[in-house]
Amino acid sequence: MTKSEIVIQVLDCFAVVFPDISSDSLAAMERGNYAQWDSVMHVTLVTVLEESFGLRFDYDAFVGVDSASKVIAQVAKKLEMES
Amino acid sequence: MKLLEALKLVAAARRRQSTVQLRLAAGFEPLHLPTFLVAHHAQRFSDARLEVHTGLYGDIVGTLRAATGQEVVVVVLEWADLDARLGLRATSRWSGPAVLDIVEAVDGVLARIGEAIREIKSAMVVVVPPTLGLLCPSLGSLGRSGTLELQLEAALATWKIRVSELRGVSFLSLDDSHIDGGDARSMLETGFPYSIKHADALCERIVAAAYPSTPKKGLITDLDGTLWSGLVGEVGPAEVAWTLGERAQHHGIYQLFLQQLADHGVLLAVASKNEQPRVDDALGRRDLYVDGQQLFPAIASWGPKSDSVARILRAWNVGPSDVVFVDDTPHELAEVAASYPDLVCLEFPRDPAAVVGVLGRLRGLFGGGTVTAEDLSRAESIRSNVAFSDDLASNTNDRRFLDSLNGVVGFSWGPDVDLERAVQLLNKTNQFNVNGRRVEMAEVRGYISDPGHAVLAVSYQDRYGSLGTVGIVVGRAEGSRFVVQSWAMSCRAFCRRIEHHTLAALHNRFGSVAIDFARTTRNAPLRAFLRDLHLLDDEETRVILVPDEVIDTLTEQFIHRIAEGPE
Repeated sequence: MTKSEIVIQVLDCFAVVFPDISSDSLAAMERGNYAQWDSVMHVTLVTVLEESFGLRFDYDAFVGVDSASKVIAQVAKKLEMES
Repeated sequence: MKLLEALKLVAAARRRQSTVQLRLAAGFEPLHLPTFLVAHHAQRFSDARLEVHTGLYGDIVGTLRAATGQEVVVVVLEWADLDARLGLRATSRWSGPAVLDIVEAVDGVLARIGEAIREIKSAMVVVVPPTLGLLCPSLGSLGRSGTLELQLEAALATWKIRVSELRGVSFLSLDDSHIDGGDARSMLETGFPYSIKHADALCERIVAAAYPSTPKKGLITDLDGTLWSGLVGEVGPAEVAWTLGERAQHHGIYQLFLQQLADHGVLLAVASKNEQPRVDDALGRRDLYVDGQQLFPAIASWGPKSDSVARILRAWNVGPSDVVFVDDTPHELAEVAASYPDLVCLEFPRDPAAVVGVLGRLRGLFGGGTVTAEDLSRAESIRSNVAFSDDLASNTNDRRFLDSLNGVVGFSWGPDVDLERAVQLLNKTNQFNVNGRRVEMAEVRGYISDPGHAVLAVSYQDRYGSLGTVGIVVGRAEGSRFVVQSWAMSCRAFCRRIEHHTLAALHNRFGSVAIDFARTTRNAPLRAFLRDLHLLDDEETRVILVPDEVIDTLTEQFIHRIAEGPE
């Protein structure tokens, strides 16, 4: 999977979890700037990423992952470990 | 359904204008349950959007107490909600005297939840009993139940029986294999105890239980190879079989099931390729497990079964979408299905073991409704109606014939209205229904007690017998005018001008009447009534004002005696 494919797929997950956020803003999303990115939606996002990529994440790995770019990096790292 | 798919359904449902409300009371973090509930509701219904209200984490009783009368209430319980020591997040000791009071503690929590459920005003409460196993290690060894485990299950069972007797309360049945189980990682990390598969299956069941489909009204059955084993035309009425000793018990079980349906007001009829006298003789056997008199009409003919089905639907005056046809021959099922695509066709299996599955399917199609006095007398009423229709058809003078009926139309207002029958009529009647609007019981109860609204029940009887409560009108006062917001009349009451008397009664009481009309795919008889009175031409959705001169016309057509019930 290429880096750009990962980015597109992660942002697709963001679009499903945060349907009110415009697609242009998704890549720059930071948790502190969006009230709807609360703890429930954070768990929802991780679950959706698991379903989309067929991965099983350690929740601890997502503690402190508070921006779309960090999520993308975390997913890429996990995919690399699994390959 | 994956969470990803559920979220997409939720997003799509947000465009829907109307909403229905659900209050979810759970002792754990509900996390994905609201998403799956909304998604399954959106999948099941195309019009409204479900809104889920949750309370404070861990406060089941507080969440229940906050319920309003307009919501469906769902209570999801797991053992850890009844005593934290029974869950994965327990921090207290699991051994020694600490566990001795667990049963007492569980009893106390269940009693408080039961009391809160009893106080809820909602018409529908669905309770989900624990779906995950007990964890406490003092509960016996692998493969054997410990005393504590048995005591806890007994406490829960006793509570379930008590609570299930409360009005409007039902328990979710979890007796199949779709439930996947818990997710320990999720429980430990987030407080949500279920796997996605488990949450999905649970919510699908909850939505089906909380918003049940309208039960079917009638079942048409084949005879040879279905109601009994053997060909009655060949072996004779005395030799067809349905008992264990005759290796035909699965037909007997089917007969018992049909009798149960008849006892709950479901219409039964026969469509068989046979000679009528042979069928009549066989259905007259006293040892049938279903009363042969309940099977009406019982049509034996060598013509296509779809013709027999057509005759039965006419006699019942119900639409094909309200009916199920059961036959052991795929060809016959296909022939009927081709003529009636909306009618549910079920194959009676040749494999005796497969009958359990068919009965389960039938249970799903017919179960769920309340049984009213009208349900129990419906078969007799249908017989009377066939006699009425035959006599009507043979009379050239409608007026003289209707005069000869000695009909009595009864009007009951407000508190005298049978609430369950009112809701049943408004939610099941399609043909004579002013707008197809469905109601909740709590809503109708509210209208009865609200001075700004009025609820009228219409009953009828004549020399053919009593039809019971055949009509319901719900309306509101708008200034000096009464606006009919719901009006439904049973199809069994057609052709007797009961609707004319009803409209006149509303006018007599309120002075001015308007009807909140909407065309539906199935309310053609209602539209024909309005057209006859020159109240409808273009069938646009609107409030139709009933002019005084129309009431004068109605009054001229009065035939029946009026019996007004007390306020």
